[in-house]
Amino acid sequence: MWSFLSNGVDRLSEWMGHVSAWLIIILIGEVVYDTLVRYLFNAPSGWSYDITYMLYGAAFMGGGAWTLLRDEHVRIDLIYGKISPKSRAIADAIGYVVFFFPSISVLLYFSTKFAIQSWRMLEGSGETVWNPPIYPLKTVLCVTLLILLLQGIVQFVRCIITIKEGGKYLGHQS
Amino acid sequence: HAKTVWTAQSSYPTGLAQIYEPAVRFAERIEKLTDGELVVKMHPGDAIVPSKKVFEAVSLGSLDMGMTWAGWWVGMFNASYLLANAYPDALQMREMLGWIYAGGGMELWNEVYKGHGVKVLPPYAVQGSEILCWSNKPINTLEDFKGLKFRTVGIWGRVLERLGAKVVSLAGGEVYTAMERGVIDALEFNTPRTDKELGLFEIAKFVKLPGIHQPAVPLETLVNEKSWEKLPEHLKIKVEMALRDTCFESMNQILKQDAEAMQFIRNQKGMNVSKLTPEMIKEIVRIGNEELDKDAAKDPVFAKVLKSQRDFRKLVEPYADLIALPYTYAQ
Amino acid sequence: MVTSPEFLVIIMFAGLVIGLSFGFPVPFVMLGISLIVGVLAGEGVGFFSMMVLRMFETMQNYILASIILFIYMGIMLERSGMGDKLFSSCHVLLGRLPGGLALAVLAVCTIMAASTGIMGAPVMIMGMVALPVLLKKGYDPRMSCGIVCAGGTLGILIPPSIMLVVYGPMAGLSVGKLFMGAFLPGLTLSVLYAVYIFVRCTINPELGPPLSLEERNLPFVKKASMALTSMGPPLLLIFSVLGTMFFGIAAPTEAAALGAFASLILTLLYRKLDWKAFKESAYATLRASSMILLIVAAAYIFTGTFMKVGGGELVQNFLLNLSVGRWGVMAIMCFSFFICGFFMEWPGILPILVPIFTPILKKLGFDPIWAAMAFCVCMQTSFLTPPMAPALFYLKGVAPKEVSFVSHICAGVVPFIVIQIIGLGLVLAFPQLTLWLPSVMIK
Ligand code: NA
Ligand code: NA
Repeated sequence: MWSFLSNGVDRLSEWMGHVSAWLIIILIGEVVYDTLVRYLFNAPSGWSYDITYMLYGAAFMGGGAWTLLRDEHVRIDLIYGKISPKSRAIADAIGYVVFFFPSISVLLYFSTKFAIQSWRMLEGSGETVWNPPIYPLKTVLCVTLLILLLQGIVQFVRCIITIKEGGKYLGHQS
Repeated sequence: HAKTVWTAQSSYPTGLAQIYEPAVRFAERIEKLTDGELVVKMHPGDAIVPSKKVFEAVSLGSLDMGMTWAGWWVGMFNASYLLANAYPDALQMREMLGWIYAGGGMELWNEVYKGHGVKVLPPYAVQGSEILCWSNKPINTLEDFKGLKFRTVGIWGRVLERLGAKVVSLAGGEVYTAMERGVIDALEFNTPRTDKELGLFEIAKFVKLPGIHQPAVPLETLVNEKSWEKLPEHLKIKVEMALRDTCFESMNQILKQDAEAMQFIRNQKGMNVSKLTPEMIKEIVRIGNEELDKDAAKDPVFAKVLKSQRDFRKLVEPYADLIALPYTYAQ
Repeated sequence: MVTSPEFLVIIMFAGLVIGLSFGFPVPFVMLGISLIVGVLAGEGVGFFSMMVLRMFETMQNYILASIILFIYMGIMLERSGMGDKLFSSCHVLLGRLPGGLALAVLAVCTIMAASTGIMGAPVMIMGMVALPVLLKKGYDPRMSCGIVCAGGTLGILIPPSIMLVVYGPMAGLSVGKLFMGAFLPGLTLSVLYAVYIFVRCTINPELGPPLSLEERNLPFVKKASMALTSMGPPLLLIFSVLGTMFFGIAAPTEAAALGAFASLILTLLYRKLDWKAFKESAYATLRASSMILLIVAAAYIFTGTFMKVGGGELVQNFLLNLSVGRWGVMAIMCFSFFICGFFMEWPGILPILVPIFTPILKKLGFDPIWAAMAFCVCMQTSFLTPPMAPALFYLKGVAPKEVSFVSHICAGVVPFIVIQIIGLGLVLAFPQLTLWLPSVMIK
């Protein structure tokens, strides 16, 4: 049951990461297209500005959970680098309880409220003449936070398993 | 007596005196007026919440008070650019104040934001006309707008597009570099004084007036509804008094400030300052009204505010025109 | 509950130091501490909303998109071998010069500083592309990390610079004058770094070992052709970013996208990009970007927390109550920027200090542009001084596994921080360094 769940979350994070990575390719193409068309044909698009921050914002948030799964968020190895795998698992477990779960849960809860409110008003970006809907991006924030939280829970349980059963704790499964 | 402390934030940085300093003066004054019973801690833009998120911050209680401009909230309320007075041939300063204080404007303003936990108080400052545009290509006829790469937002952008201009959206932090290097041909920001402080005269050769897209700038005062309700009656009155006072003071200072800034801008080597012709203004107003009517057809709240502003003007403008004297010292 | 701002601020920074040193991922420590401090301050819904508003604002920050674009460029430089070839041929050309390769890396950092207005991107690119080459050639890891961090942060001083764009309206100064004013101080720092590297490597060649004999004895023609072929493509890349910006084709973020696109095309031309590699490089860009930008978002929330619980006011009251002479005030002002830099990045420091210092400068008759440059040099160090040291975090994020945070990266930047203090002294002692260029360039 556990392995089914944890694998599921891992795959979800990875999938979201892959999708987000493609947003980067679209981002490059979109900005290059807009710039060249504006310069060569004096025809700037009305949408490039909004699309650019939407793609960028969705991309980096979308990669958060996958980066956590691969343990690629920066750690300072002052003490962490010198202690046993089991002690690392303990340090991480404490970190999840003290830092990660409270803050990500709060962000998730309140960003969901923001997103719901935004959908209710069918809110626009208000940034440009185009004024496109902003609720999709607000929804992206809460969905990516949710998956980040799920991935955090899985990583936390992995810490606990290491503490109880010993063994090599890598902090990640890559 | 119990002391109340409010956290307040502006949407503007400290150096833009016309839009930031009145907010600070309000904070200083209210503390003295109430003998310290109400302390307002005023912060510059971005200190606590992002500058363009002040409405949400006041609504949700991150701030007790926000000193800002309604035009930022067009994503939430289309009518907010009417409240911001940001549309072609909008109200002039005296008419704007008349509408707010005597024409039902204040009530409508609160009605637009109803249900968001926000109380709108009288503006903490009102600026005069903005500069229509800074450009590196001359604009002598409406034809000259064709193909002009113009950085702006809102309904003014829509009007410019109908005039054939190409509206470009850029991040605030990149506008200066982009204008300097010729990525864009024209831009607008605020009044002569503020634009001078931003150094726009260093990157543009042509200045066009009058600021028909923003003939006056009412600066919005927002208060969190719960914070407002908690305030005893005598403090509420003093808050409103202090706001009227700072607004009055700023109105009376800006004419001189903007005139001096304009003189400075005119004196820059190679700078061309000129006005739109009456024919150009007429055509821009015609297009602007068409765009306004389009929005009014889609949004009943918008329509109501627009009608109120138009009705007010139909009443006061013929009279104001009747009594206006020509300016002796203008060319 | 004790909720004086002093207590909360101490909790914030003690918590940050403790949390980070136990190795929990940086962004989550910052977020966690922010929340804990908010709750201790008795804050509620309004505070939590502030956190989300700041998070969302980071997602909407158009200019930060260039971080992703530059990382993509860096990954392409690495994958195509362009970066490796570039630095290797620099090494061959400058092999006789003590620390030659390090000097080449510094030169590239300076060029990159002129093409981006933010700090993260150059540190990441040089961390990915140049640092491995430096280590491979036997350069001292501490010095190598120091160059990448210090050189990479020049981007916020040498125009275009987002920091100066924000500074201008805050102090009522023209951005153009600030840009012009920052140019020479930025270059001066770069030169000072170079002198330091040269002197250290001359005294102790171990730090930057010279070329192997066989490499050194390559015929000149061979060396020249090697340099030409290896420098062409990166030069093309530099043009696609700097050139398009200079000739008014693109705004800075757009120029970064053109650079990313050009690097993709070049890598294709090198035949180093099949479908799998194309996918993998997008994936690697994504993870590096998430790593950086979550820190950016978390640091932004951390700063908001500091202000919300009254930290800004605390600093202001402290500074306003000091009484020292004219130059004493100047010294204290610079020192404040430096100290604040330990705990915050410039976006947090500016709104606290600039509003209180600007009127003081006016009163004491100091030139505001000159003072701004002194402050900006101080703020450049904010990226390098732990515990809030983003440049060091980013480098740690991309550096080879054997690079240690404390003994290589932190230790490595120490001399460069000292050099920055010397640079600050020069800026203060010679106002013309700042004021000359604006006076001749702006009508
Ligand atoms: Na730069
Ligand atoms: Na620091």
